[in-house]
Amino acid sequence: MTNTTNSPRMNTRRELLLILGSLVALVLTALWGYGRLNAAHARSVDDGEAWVQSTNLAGQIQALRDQPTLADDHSLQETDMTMRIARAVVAASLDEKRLIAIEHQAPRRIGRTNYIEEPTRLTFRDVTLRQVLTALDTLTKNDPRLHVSRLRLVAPRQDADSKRWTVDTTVTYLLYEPAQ
Amino acid sequence: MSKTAVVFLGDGDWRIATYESDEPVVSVVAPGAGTELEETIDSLYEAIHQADCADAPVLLAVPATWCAAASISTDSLPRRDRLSAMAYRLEEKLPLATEEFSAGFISGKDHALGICVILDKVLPITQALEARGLYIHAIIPTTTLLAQELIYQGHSIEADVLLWHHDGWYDTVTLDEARQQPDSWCLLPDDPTAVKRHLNLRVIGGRETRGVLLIGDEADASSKSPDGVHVHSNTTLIREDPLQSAARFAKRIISGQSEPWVDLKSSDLGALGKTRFIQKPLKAALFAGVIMLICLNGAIFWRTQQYGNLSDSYLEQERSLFAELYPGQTPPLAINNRLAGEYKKISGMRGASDTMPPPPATLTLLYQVLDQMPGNVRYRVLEMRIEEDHVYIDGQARTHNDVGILVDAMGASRTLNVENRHTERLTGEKGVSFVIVVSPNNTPIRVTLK
Repeated sequence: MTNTTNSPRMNTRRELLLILGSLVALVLTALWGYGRLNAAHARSVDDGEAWVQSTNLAGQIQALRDQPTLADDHSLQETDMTMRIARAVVAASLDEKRLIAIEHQAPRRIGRTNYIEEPTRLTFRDVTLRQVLTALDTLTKNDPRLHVSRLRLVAPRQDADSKRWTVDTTVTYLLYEPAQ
Repeated sequence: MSKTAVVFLGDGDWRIATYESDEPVVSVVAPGAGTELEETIDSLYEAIHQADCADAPVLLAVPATWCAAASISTDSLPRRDRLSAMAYRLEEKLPLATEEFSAGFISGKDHALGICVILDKVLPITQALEARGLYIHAIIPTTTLLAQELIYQGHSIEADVLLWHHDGWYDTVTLDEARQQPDSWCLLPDDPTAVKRHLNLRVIGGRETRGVLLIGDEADASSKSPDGVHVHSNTTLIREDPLQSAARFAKRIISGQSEPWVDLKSSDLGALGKTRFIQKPLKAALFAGVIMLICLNGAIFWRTQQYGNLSDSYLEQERSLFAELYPGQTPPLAINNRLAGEYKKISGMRGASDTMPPPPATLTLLYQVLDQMPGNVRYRVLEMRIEEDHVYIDGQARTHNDVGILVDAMGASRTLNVENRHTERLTGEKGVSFVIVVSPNNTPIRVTLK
């Protein structure tokens, strides 16, 4: 004796398959959704940390902006430097003819730091100490990026009583330029 | 064997057979024909309950009028899903689709007798009985139960055709002598001529009828032709109640003593077997699982959306921050990286970096040295050189003592340190030449302009 399958049984099987299929689909959807949830959670944590970091950095940047600039991030144009020197000479009541040479030298890195100095050599003749110091002070006091890095005062030997000097000095402009 | 019950279904009254000392007692289920199905089911359940058979297996016997039968060929049937293929072959012989019946097959040599019951008739009944917690053991045509009982009693020796007269029909079963199984089953009209024609057709097919078993109400009278002759010369009249005989064999089937020729029970006809008690909880559990997963998925998507909104909020705040710091500039993708770069740059430019070299103190040193030069001795400075925070003073004085005063004046300063001095008497002249090297102490220097 044997039995065979008919439509209602098929319907029951279809219902069972439908439920099981739905379960499988829902489980797969849940797994996929869980993956997305984890990714979204990780991204939100990263974004939160990035926001905290950005907030701190913005505060520090804002605080540093109030500090004087001790090193520039780009070179000073030679003409600009020359004009500054000329203004300093005038401020020191120096005859322009006393400034006999302005020599812009090649920039050089300071040791292994991220800083570069751009030297400009100045030569004065027959100037008093007050005049040359006034000129150099005028040139550097309003710009912390400019420094007098070398100074040589020579008294003319043939005129022992004269108070006029020959001055050879180097003014450097400091740049911040990280090495590649 | 515990108690059991057999229910004889039909278009008219239903009957129930219970057992007293293994003898069946058949009674009509009231209310009878013409009542609503639910009402009849209630009455049947009440009768089963009264017979204390509510927890016992119930056998449903279906009438021939709810069944159909046909012989099918079993040649070239596929090995796989053989029963479905047989059902489709049976469908070809019947005015019914496979979806409309539940079938069983009695296999012969190269043919099988397919017997089926119409689902529309029995499905509502089995479902209603199942809903009341009854366990349906089997669904078997009453005719085959009766035929099996008669064979069991040994009547097949004298006859190979069973004629059961009931409800205006001749329920006719012909037997395959070799296998002692039916090879055909049909309902013939209550007309001896029609029965004779059926038997003659059997002869044409090469099967001589050996004898006829006649059973049923007024079977003796109705099976005779007007001249008083039976449809077959070797006719044996059985004077038993057919339902009682069928009930006897049903009892043997339920107790496992005999196997039915055919059982029309399928999973859709209530015979869900031992798993019937867990069907509802199982469905409920599956449904609960589906609901739970839907809720879980909803929660996951909602939470994912929340994390997404949080990320967007952080990004928007970062953009506002950047726009505040750098108005007019387009925010980059990684704002924090850009700000880190900007911070590094500005800290390098504003002196916050550890690697920034200290500024040269050339002018400060010069002022310091000039401040310390004494005014009470005569000397002449020929050259003064300041390089890398060292002051080299080259000059002339009258005596070594004057040079010593000059050096002492330099050394008296807390901010200066005389590192070296060298004096030498001038040849051909009065006086000495000197070279003094001065360097700054670590103490901070205040710059003043004379």
